[in-house]
Amino acid sequence: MDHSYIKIDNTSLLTAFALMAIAMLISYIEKTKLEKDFFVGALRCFVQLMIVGYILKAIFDANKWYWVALTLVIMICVAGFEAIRREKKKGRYTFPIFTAAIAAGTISVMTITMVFVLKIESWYNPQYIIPMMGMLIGNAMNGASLLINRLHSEIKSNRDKIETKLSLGATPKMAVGDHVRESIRAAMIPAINYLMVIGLVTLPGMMTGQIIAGADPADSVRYQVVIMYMITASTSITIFISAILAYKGFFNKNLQLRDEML
Amino acid sequence: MKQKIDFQNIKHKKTMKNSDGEDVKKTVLDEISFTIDEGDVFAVMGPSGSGKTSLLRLLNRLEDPMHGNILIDGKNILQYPVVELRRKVGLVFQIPYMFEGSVLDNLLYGPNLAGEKPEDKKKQVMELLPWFGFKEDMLGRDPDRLSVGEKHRVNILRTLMNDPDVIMLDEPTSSLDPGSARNILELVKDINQKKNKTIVLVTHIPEHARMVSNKALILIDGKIVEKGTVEEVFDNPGASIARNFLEGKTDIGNGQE
Ligand SMILES: Nc1ncnc2c1ncn2[C@@H]1O[C@H](COP(=O)(O)OP(=O)(O)OP(=O)(O)O)[C@@H](O)[C@H]1O
Ligand SMILES: [Mg+2]
Repeated sequence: MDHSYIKIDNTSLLTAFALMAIAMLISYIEKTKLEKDFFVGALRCFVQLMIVGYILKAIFDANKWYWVALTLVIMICVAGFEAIRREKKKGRYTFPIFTAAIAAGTISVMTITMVFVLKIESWYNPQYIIPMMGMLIGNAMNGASLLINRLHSEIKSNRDKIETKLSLGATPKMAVGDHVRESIRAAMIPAINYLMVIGLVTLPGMMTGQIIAGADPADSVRYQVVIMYMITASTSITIFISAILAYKGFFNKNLQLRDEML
Repeated sequence: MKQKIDFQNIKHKKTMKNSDGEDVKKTVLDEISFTIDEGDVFAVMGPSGSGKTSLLRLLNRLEDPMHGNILIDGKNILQYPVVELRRKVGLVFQIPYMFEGSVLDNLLYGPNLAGEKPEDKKKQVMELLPWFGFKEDMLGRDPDRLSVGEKHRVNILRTLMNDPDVIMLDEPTSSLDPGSARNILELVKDINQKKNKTIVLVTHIPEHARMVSNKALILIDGKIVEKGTVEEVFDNPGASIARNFLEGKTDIGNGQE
């Protein structure tokens, strides 16, 4: 099989940057005043990815488990932070809960895949674990973010109904059961939709990348299917764990709704 | 629980946003002390925003006061298990929120939580239905499709199904025509006399309190301005502010400073 592909040198990169100039020109003509944002965005995209590229290269070269582990820990913590960033009312445990949920969902699925599907001998082989975990963490983060957002608005808009249930002797778990379920559903729907249209509407980045890098499309499709199942499973686990832990944060130990969290 | 209830110098504040969006604490209940005895129909009156609902919420432990104690039979309510307390001192909410499922599902919500036998409880429901002016076909109906008056009655019956010692009713006659309001008040009287339940009735209509209660207090701006037996409160109100309220001179909503 042909493993060669056209490398992009610095000159070509600069030429591609001209594409951004087109976007900026349109923005200028239409007076949307977005030229600066486009420019900064283009620059950030370039710089961030370059830095990541170099770091990844260093990690690949070093091939040491602790560097891989540290990278994963950082990725998961950033994802945990990002997932709850837009929430205005955070409790003491919000960050740990969501970070733990993302960690549990992604690490468990990755482990199962490496042991039973890919049958990789050394788990810290960065070639597999880092890009795959990246995809899992990114999707789990989106799922967690949707979950907390929905759970919050469900509880807030149903607080009187929830308190009516509490007053009849329900525990918080029973009182918010329907709303937790509804939030889980809402958070999972994008993942399911993506499964439905993949290949028809979207060609996933990983598959595209592999094909350009010279892989047999039939092989990359197999990879993509595995990845999709992994993503769905780990996102579901993350959403589920986030939900069953996060609703507790809306109540105090006396089974009362916490006004300050709504 | 023999349900002698003692409010001892309760003070309660709530956090709300001021016009600048900053959190400020507002006193909603202040120096509240009174006693409810077993078998009372105790009326809590006051204009809108005076703290009536807040008072009931404290006794149901949906929130706890900042200062002061509430005792039931001499024991601080903080010492009772929360779930048990809420079931024994039942609260009927001002707005009748209906849960998913049928009317029967709603009525059995509390008993099901406690793991009581649905058949036994259903039998009890059947006995109570005529009392509440319902026929059997009520049980299968969608609670969201009921009239407001029907919802109020389902709301009361739902709390009654927990077999509480005390029932607190928060404006059970609100948004009802005089006839339906009277029906509810008759029902309240029956629940007190035939089912031997202590009743706490919140209302901003003095006339309604007079019709059913034996003791009453008037709350204005979170403070008790009058309390005692119905005769004492209605016939000889000491405070002029209480007199104004009873004579309807305090407009609803004018209670705030
Ligand atoms: N969750 C809350 N946060 C902040 N303030 C609140 C909250 N609930 C009630 N309040 C305020 O506390 C005061 C007392 O409210 P409460 O509901 O006890 O009045 P009420 O006497 O029941 O009035 P109504 O007859 O209109 O039901 C009001 O000024 C109200 O705006
Ligand atoms: Mg009220």
